[in-house]
Formats: sequence, structure tokens, C-alpha cells
Amino acid sequence: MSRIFSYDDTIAAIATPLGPGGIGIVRVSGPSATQIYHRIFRQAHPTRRVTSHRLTYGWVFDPSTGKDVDEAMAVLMKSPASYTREDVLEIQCHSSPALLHKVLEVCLANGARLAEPGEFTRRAFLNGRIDLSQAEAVLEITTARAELAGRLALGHLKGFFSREVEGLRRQLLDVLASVEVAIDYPEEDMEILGEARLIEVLESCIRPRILNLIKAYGRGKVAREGIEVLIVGRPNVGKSSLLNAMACEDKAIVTPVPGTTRDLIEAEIDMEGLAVRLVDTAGIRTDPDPVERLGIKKIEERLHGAAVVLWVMDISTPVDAEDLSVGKALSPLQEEKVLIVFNKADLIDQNPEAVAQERMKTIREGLNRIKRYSYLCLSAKKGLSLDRLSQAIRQGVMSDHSEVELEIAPNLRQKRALDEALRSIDRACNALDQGLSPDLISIDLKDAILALEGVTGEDVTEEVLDRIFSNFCLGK
Amino acid sequence: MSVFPKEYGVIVVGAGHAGCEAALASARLGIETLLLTINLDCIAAMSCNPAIGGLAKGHLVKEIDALGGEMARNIDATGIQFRKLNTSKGPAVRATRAQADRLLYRLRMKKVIEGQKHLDIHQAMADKILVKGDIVKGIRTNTGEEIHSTCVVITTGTFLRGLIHIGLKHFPAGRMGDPPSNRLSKSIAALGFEMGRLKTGTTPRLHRNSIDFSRLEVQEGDTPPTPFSFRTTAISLPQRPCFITYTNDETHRIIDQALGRSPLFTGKIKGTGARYCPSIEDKVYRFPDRPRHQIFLEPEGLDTAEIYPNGIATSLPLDVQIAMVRSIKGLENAQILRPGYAIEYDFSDPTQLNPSLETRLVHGLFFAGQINGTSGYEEAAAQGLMAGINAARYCLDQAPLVLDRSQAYIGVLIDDLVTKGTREPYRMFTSRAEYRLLLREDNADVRLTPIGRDIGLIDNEAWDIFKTRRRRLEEALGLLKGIKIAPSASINEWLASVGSSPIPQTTTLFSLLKRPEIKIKTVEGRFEEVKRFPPEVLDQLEIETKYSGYIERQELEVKKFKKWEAMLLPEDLDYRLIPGLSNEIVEKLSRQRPVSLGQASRISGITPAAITAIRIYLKKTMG
Repeated sequence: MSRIFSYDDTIAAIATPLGPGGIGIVRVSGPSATQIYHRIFRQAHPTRRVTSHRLTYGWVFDPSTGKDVDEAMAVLMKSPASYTREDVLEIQCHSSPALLHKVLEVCLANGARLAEPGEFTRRAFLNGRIDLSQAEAVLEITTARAELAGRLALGHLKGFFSREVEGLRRQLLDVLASVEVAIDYPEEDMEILGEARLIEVLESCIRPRILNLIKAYGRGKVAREGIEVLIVGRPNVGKSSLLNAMACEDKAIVTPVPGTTRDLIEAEIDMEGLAVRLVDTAGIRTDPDPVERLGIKKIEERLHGAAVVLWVMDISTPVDAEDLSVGKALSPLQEEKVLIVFNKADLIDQNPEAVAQERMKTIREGLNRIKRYSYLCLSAKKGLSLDRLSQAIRQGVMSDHSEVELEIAPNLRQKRALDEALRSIDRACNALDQGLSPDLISIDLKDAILALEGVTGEDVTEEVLDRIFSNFCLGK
Repeated sequence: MSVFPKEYGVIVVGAGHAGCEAALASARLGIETLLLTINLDCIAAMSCNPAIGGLAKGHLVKEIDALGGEMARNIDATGIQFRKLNTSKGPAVRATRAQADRLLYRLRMKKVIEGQKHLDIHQAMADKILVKGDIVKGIRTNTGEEIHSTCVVITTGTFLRGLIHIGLKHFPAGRMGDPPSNRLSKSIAALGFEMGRLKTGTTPRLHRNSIDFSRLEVQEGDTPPTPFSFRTTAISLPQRPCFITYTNDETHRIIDQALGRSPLFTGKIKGTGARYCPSIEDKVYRFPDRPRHQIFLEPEGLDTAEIYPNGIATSLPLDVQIAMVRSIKGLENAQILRPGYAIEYDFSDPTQLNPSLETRLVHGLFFAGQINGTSGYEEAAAQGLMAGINAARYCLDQAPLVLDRSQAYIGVLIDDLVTKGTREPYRMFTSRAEYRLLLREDNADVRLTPIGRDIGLIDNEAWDIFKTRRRRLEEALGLLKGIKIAPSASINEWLASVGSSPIPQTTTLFSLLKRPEIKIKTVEGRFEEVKRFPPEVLDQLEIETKYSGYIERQELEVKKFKKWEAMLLPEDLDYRLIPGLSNEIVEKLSRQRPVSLGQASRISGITPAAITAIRIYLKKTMG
């Protein structure tokens, strides 16, 4: 049973990402928004009348204690000219998580309840301000980490994806219609598609197009969610300086915040439009102490989730046992995922490429296994060849992507519906192969059409709606 | 003005296929019923083709029978050719079709009606529906008599302001030879009903002796003929063949040159015809590349020379009809006994009805058949039966009987009409039923006879027949599940001989039958004990076994569907109070007043977001 939201209450949430920053916003929507404004906001000029859509300067205070919480700007947007079409109050305060939570608490204590995930957008949708596809696009644009993702969402807003699906749906409707007409007009003297032709249309016209959309999902996912690049290697090969260098090189540090464990350092960067989360790991050693062993376990857990693993080595020193133990830890991974980075190329006098080849030989012998890892040489410290690294990473994850395909890439919900459509089509082909009767074939064809209708939101059930809306981040 | 001496529970206006079922159902439920007709000699007249059943229509006839209606037994008693259609296209879409002896068909129905207890017949034209406030009180006839009743069922067919066209000539008529009903149409419109205009047509009738059958393809019926009714044991009338011929280039040229004299193409006809039942001029015009169109020559009866050339309905002038017919192989000397014609008539937008077929404007007033925009005898009879049942239940102060889309084609038909309305004459198709695999001809009795019994339309005799059939089905199923088959050289050899793979371990005959290549007929050959069950029982068993996977999937769908049907909308719901509904949606819902969220979701233009908004509102206000 899906959750039912009621309309007559007022919801509140922190609308901006939590973290140190300049401004944080608490948003309130619903019939009590105006009342809450008057209860918790003290205007700097008490006599001035509140005007809709105009910022007012003053202080948020807690009426139960009478104490000020924060200095803030507040704006009331009267229904229906607001995001949700309800009365909306936005309070812009200082963006400390503790402070924002306090402001939110004051709102909750004075007539609001905490919003469910996506509830603001859900209300906007239910109040007819936006339609479903726009709602989904809002989700994607607000969570778009980088340009590629934004472009993809924009492609959806423009309807490239919907048009492709609609085309498929029509084609399937044609097939179904020809099956149905043969059923309902058995006596009619007319040409209808034979079974062989039906299978041909399904398998060579419709199936590949759906498959193509499904395949685009993988690339779309990369564009939407970005990728994780894990930096591993023994201690002191320059992993941290590589992270810093990449972050600087790409000039778009998002949030270099300490990782969740003391062993991992993370930074988000925008690599020519691709959102990349760099994760710097603690060095892996042959003889770890118990604490380090925990750290290694953490790394192993991350290995599989990462799109690319940069195995960093110091080109100025020979490959040693510790390097090889790193290699062993990487051995379960697909070789395309691993990229060997010979760092500190500025420290050697010889041609780095020649040295690298020599080192690679040692690695292959030392690992006892034939893995064809790619490699490149650079210097994190001097910033040499960093652009080649970016290139290699992008190529690795987006090897065959083109923008046209990206614009039709489905999201996860859409991909599931396409999977379902594909399964139905396969069932129909199977049934045709087995010589089953048209009344049964039509059931599978109808299922496929219904699945496609779910993709474009023409026949969305509430379950799907719920799933879509719970994907929204709180407050948007 | 005088008042008729007797007061009725139900008055049925019109004695066509809808009216007969309505009157019989109401009377059989014990309600004093009056059947009014313009012409007593035309009870249950087949104004168009002399056939009952066909795809989806055969399903309707079996459902009418399973609920206790008359149509199936009437055709069984008067049919002169019976065929099972689509035998190779799957269990869900097999359908029965029969040619009727047109005269015998209406005579038998008249006899049944004359002999029915609680049912009076009276020849008169209804001019006005009597209403007090918003409650129906009876009708007034063209001779000025008032007849009072609790309910009125209107089944006027093509008679409301009927206008016949032949060429550019037209004249008022309800059907060729009978007067139209003009004042009644005005009376209905005056009550506030939104009316529209539709068109249908029929073919010229030919003299048998003027046709050269020797050069034509013969189409015999099935032997033995399979009846419609679960209660019929055998078909008694002698059986007759049909013949098949085709139009040709010359026919098409004649038609093409005469389009300037066609009431359809010159705009004389304003009503909308059905796309799926076009006139021959329409077919030739719309599909210029088709080299020929098929024509079935159907006998109209055992003792008449009239032949019905199915496939050349036309409203072209008589001289063109003659030339066109005579250009066709076998018909070179054909003599036209009656011309083909088109007829325009009024209908009332069926979205003004509740699913019980009672109008929302006037309590106790029911509409059934062509007045609701349908076409076809079977569609009419199905609605007539339901309107008759519900008018009787209205008199008895019982809740209406409403079948849903998962229970019967009748449910699909009525739901489509009252929910979506129609712009062209509505015909039933199997593809309109989303749970087609569950709504088969063979299980119509399993689906509906218990309901018919509950409401009181199934008598003891019919109920016993049903129970016997059901018991046999259970026995046969028990038998199949009980026959254990161990793997042996002999059994695997037999399996190989019928194109199937060997069995690795002991199994039952039931699981073996699930294999697509193992047919019940194949099994009968080896397992003698199966033979003691009648073929129709075995057929049904085979369907239920072999397609169990698909059937289960549809049953799952039905569960979801029922959930939405069960979310009822209050009758006095004020849609204007629901936040988030557009004006257009509010207007639509307020006008149509769907009974459930499920029905609301099927109204065109009602978005999923609107459905969600209504649901949220209901949760909030009703807890």
C-alpha cells in the first residue's frame, strides 16, 4: 500500500545541501506557512507590511524561549504563485548544519511537520503545477552533478527519449492490431502478417531498438551519477599528491571533505563534464597491523564499486613486494578497470616510457598472471601528463558514448520498464515459435505496450509515482 | 386522455432484441411487465443480417444464456447453419455463429413472450415518457392513453426519428415498412438528455432462383452443429449452406461513378456510421487498392427465396444497386427483392447512464440497445437483459446487478458505454476485453450461471444442467490428476510417436496435458477412461490445463483491477473541493459521476495525477 500524503498540513525541510557554506535555506509549504512566519520571524522593521515575494530582513527566534536563533532573510510566496502552489515560506540563514536544524526545529514546533522525501515536488505535481516528466526532470536537474548529467536531463525534457519510446509503442500497437484484426475478423478476406513475419518484425525491428535504449542506460548512469575513481598503491608513491593534482588540474573541486573512515580521503571533481569522485586510500602494505588491516578491508569493499582503479607506483624505485601485494589485491577486478600510474616521472633521467615497460615486465612476472593492464607515466607534483590521465579515465568509462545516445538514456525506473517490455517481447516470440495461438500472443504484446506506457508515464500507477517521488532529495 | 386499466412494475418500449430480453427478464423475476411495440408482427425482427453470434457476439449470446436470457435458445431452435469460428486461433477467441430462419426466429420469440407469466403485450406507439420530479411514472401512447409504471425501459432501436435513405431520396421510417417514433425522441430530449445521430445500413435482398450457385464457393455449417445454449441438447432444423462470391473491378467502377448520387458522399447523411461495418461504397472509396471484396450469400430461411448478400450494404440508388449486383460472379441475373438502404436515427449519449443502465437524470428510466449507441442484435440483447433485470430489481428495492470487466463481455460492453461513450455505432470485439482469456464461450456458465441463479433467473432445470456440467468437469479433472504415468519404454515410445519428449519420472496425465503438443484428442486415443466425458467438458479441461500459465497471469491482473473497482466514490462527491483537479476534469467527473476510482480512471482525459488527488482527498475526508 502506498503512502498517502495529506494536503491540509504544512511541511518543512532544509532545502539546501548540508555542509559548510554561505547560505542555507529552510523551506515551509502549506496553509500554516504565513502563520509560522509571524510566529518565528521578527522583522528588523516591525511596522513594515509583509509583501508576497519580497525578501524581509530580521531574526528567526524560538517563541518558546524568546531567544534568537539566527539572523536571516525570509520570503513569503503566497499561493498559487509558488513552487507547490501552496503558501510557501523560505528562510535564508547561515549555513551551519546545527543552525539550520535549529531553525527547522522551530518551524516544526510551530505548526509544520517534517516533509517526506520529494514531498514539495509531489505537491507541485498534484497541484498541477508540473507534470510527471517535468517532475522527473526536476529530480535529475537538481541532482545533476555535472554538465553531462544536466545535458541528459535536458534531452529528456526536450522529449528525445519519449519520442523514441512512443515510436516503439506505435510499432508494437501496429503488430498487436494485426494480430487482433485476424482474431476479430476470421471470415474476412484480407492480408495479415503471418507468424514468420511477426517474429521478424519483433526480433529485427522492435527488439534491437529496445535493447539499444537499455544499453544506453549504463552510459546514462555514468553521466547521471558520475563515477568513482579509486587511488590505490603502497605508501609514499604519491597518491595524495595525485588526488590534489587532479583536483587542481580540473579546477573544479566540489567538496574535498574527509572520508567516512580515517583511511579514505574523497574529493569530487568535474572532469570535462563528467562527475568524478576521487577516493584516496591508505597505503597497502605487505605486513599490516590490525588497524591497517581494517583499512585494507575498507578498500576491498570499494574496489568493486569503483569505475576505475588507479594503481599508483613510484617509477623512480623498483617494483617491490609491497607493490605486488597491491597487485594481488586488484587481481579479482576486470583488467579494463585498472590503470597503472607510474608517478614521479620527474625524478628519473631516462625515458619514462622505457622504464615503465621494464617495470611492467617485473609486475607481470611478479603477479604470475597475465593481466594486460594499461599504464601511463606522469608527475603529480609537477603536473606532467595529468591531462592524459583524465583522457584515459573518460575513455575507459565512456568508450562508445555519443551524445545522441546519451539524450535517450533511460533512468533506472525507465530501464526496468524497458527490461519488462523486452521480456514480454521475448515471451511473445517464444510463444510464436511454439506455435501458440494469437489470443495468447496478444497478451504478451499488450504487456509489452503497457510496459512502454509506464516508461513515458502515460499509464503510471501510483506505485511508480511513489517510487519516483521518494527519490527526490528532502526539500526539493 | 384515458388511463390504462392496469398499472405495471416495468414497461418496455420496443420489442426488438433488447426489448424482448428486458421484458422476459423482468417478468421472469415476477414483476408485472408490459411490452409495447409499434407492430406485433415484428417482435424480435432481424432487420439486418439473418445471423446471430460471431466473434465476441457469440460470447455475448452465451453469457445471456448463462444468466437466464432467451436469445441463445431462440437461435438454437430456429438456426439453419451453425459454425465454430477461429478454432485454430486459440481458446479465448473461439466463437459460435449461426444463420437464422428469420421468420421462425421472430415467431418463436413471439410465442415465448405470449406464453410468459406476468408479461402483457400491447401494440401501440409510445409518444411521451411521464415523469414527476425526477422519477418516471409511465408513458403516454399515440392514442392518448397513459400507462403507469414504476420503471420504463426504452429499447427503440433505429426508430427514434428514423430516416431512410436510398440514393438521394429519403423518407421517415423506423425500419423499411414501419413508421418512425418522432415524438418519443423529442420527449427524451425534453427531459434533458444529450442526443446524437448515428447511421447504419443494410444490403439489398436477392431472389434465390435468380442466382447461379453452381459457380460459387460453398460454405457448409459444422456437423454436428454446436448449439449456443448450455440447455440445448440438439439442433432440430435442417441445415443450409452459404455461398461465397466477390466484387470485381467492374463492380468498383460502377460504384465509383455513382458516388455523386450517394447520400453518404453528397453529405445528405449526417449521422456517423461505423468504421468496422462500412457500406460497399465506403469500402471501395477507402481501399481503392483492394481488387475485390468478399460477399457471403446467406439464406434468410427455409421457406423463403430471399438471400442476404452479406458485404454489400449500400444506400446507392436502386439502378446502381442493380448494376452493381449484376456485375458480380453468380449474380449476373440476380433480381433484387428489396433494395438496400441506410437509416439515420437518434441515440442518447450513454455516459448519462449508471452502470445499471438506469439514467442519472430520471430515476426508474432505463435505456438499452441502439438508443445507447450500439449496433448488433447481441449487443442489444445483452443490454436489454441487464436493463430488464435492473428495472425489476428497482421495483423490488434491490441493489442493481452490475457485471464488471473481468466477469463478462456484458460487463465490458456496459462499462465502455457508460464510461467512455461512443461516437460511432459500438460493436463488441474480443480485443475490447482485457481479460479475454478468462471470458471464454466455454466457461460462460461457470462465470455467470451462479449469478443468474442468485438473482432468480435460472430455474431448477437449468440449474441442474449447470451443476451436472460442473460436476463432470471436476470429475474429469480428478481423473486426469489421478492417472499416474510411470516412465516406461511403451509410454515413451507413445510420447515420441506424438512428437513429445520422454518422461524422466512418474507424472500425471494432468501435467502431461500441459505440454503444447499433447492434445486431449491424443490422450483419448491411449487412455480409454477419458472418453466417457463429453467433448465440451474435455475441451474446457484442456484449455484450463494447457493455458494455466497465461490464465494465472490474467487472474493476477484481475486482482489489481478489482482493487480499484472496490474504491467507491460517494454519490454526492463535490469534485470542486478536491485540490489539484483542473476545471475540465472537475466538469467531466461531475457530469459522469463514476461509481469507483477504477471507473474514473477509464474516463478519457482523466489523468493518473487526478486519480491520485481524488484518492488523497477521500482518505483525508473519510479517514
